[in-house]
Amino acid sequence: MKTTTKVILITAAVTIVSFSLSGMLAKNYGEGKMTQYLQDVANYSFNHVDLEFANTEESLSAEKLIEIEVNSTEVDLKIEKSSDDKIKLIYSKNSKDKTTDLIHINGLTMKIDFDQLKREGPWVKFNFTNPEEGTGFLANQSVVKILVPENIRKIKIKTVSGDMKVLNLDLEELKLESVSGHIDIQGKLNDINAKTISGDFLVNSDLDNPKVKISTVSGDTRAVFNSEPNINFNFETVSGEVSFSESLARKEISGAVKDLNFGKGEGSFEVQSTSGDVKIEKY
Amino acid sequence: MKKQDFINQLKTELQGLPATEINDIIRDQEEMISDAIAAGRTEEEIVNSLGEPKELARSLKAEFKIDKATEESNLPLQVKGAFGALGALLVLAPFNLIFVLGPFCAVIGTLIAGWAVTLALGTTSLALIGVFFAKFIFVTAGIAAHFSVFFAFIGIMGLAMLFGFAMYAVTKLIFKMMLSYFKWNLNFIKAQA
Repeated sequence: MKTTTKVILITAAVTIVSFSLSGMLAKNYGEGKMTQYLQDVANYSFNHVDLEFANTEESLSAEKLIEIEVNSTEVDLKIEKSSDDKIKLIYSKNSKDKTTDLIHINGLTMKIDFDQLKREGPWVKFNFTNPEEGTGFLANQSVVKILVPENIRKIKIKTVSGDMKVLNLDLEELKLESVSGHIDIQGKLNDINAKTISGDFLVNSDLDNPKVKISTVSGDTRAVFNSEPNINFNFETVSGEVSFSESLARKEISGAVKDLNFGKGEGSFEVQSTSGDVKIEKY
Repeated sequence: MKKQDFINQLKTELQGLPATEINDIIRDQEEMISDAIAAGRTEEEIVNSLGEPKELARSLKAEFKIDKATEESNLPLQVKGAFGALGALLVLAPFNLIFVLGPFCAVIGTLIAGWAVTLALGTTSLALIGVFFAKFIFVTAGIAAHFSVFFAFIGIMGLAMLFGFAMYAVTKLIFKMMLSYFKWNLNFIKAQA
């Protein structure tokens, strides 16, 4: 047998064995957990790699403020609870970034505009400096972390392609809008109103009876409950489907759903989508 | 035109070919003319029947380049040789802009697209393995999940390599067919002359 033939046969065998092992291990690990793992990898990048480059922290007085409005084109946003009574903006900027007039205060509302955070650097940079981050091409995309104190009761965020991640905030109202950015909300979801055209949603609720309203054209929605859900679920769609984790023991539904109760149906979870699917999970 | 004038002109027009090849061609032509004279034909008659030395040299050059590319076992050199043969055929017959250059460009375009896919697949597989060591292993998920992703990435790399082997074989086959077509095209031109 020729050496070339041997190499091809060995490569084909390794390929088949690799894919088979990958499939077996993924099946063994669990489909839902595997999806969560991949999501965690994306979050790892969001939390550990991009924000490692943060070199600027601005601390702003939040006295007399109850609302924050954030506008961004492509900057990814991560909103978390502040440990004190200040609003903090943590981000990376270089000398060429234009950050003047970033913040405006209008009555009880603080308006933050990240459209002016223009990147002037290269599109990608190669990072060898910190082995813990690994090596690889890192997109030179901005991630901004905003820490908000407890007196802020309302947050409105608009982005074009920037992703949004809102973690563990106890708000009266949270309104999120994006064109293609992904929206990730975790914590006590009292009154959530989120819209995107093509971005996906991940809603991880600490409450069993959250109040969530989601609207999308083609984005998928994944709702994760950490306790037995107690919601009234409605789904308006053209071609979307609803599926459930095994723990909820429900059959997949194709098309619209009206007043599907989980538990007593005290909370509400409404999704409007043209083609996006919904998956409701309980862990 | 006398035999020696014809031979001298042909020698000049054949410049560019290796000296041994020129000598072989000249020897063949001289033998052919001598044989014809021995058979009772006049020198001028024979030389006139061979056509213009310039045209003959172009045809012989094209034939040499096609044969050399066909015999070449190294693919990059065969590709280079095929381009040389293409140039010679275009010089020989301008109508080959349609009958040779057109199909050649279409085939080359398809092959470039195939190689671009192979390259993209290979680069992606390498990038994924890089990303695995840069990000995936830092996420707590258990050894089964890590190995599942790792093996998937190795599988993609294997797939890229198989695609590369397939493209190599397809490229070799296509060029072999293309050179056969070049040869047929040259014989057709010679028959028409």
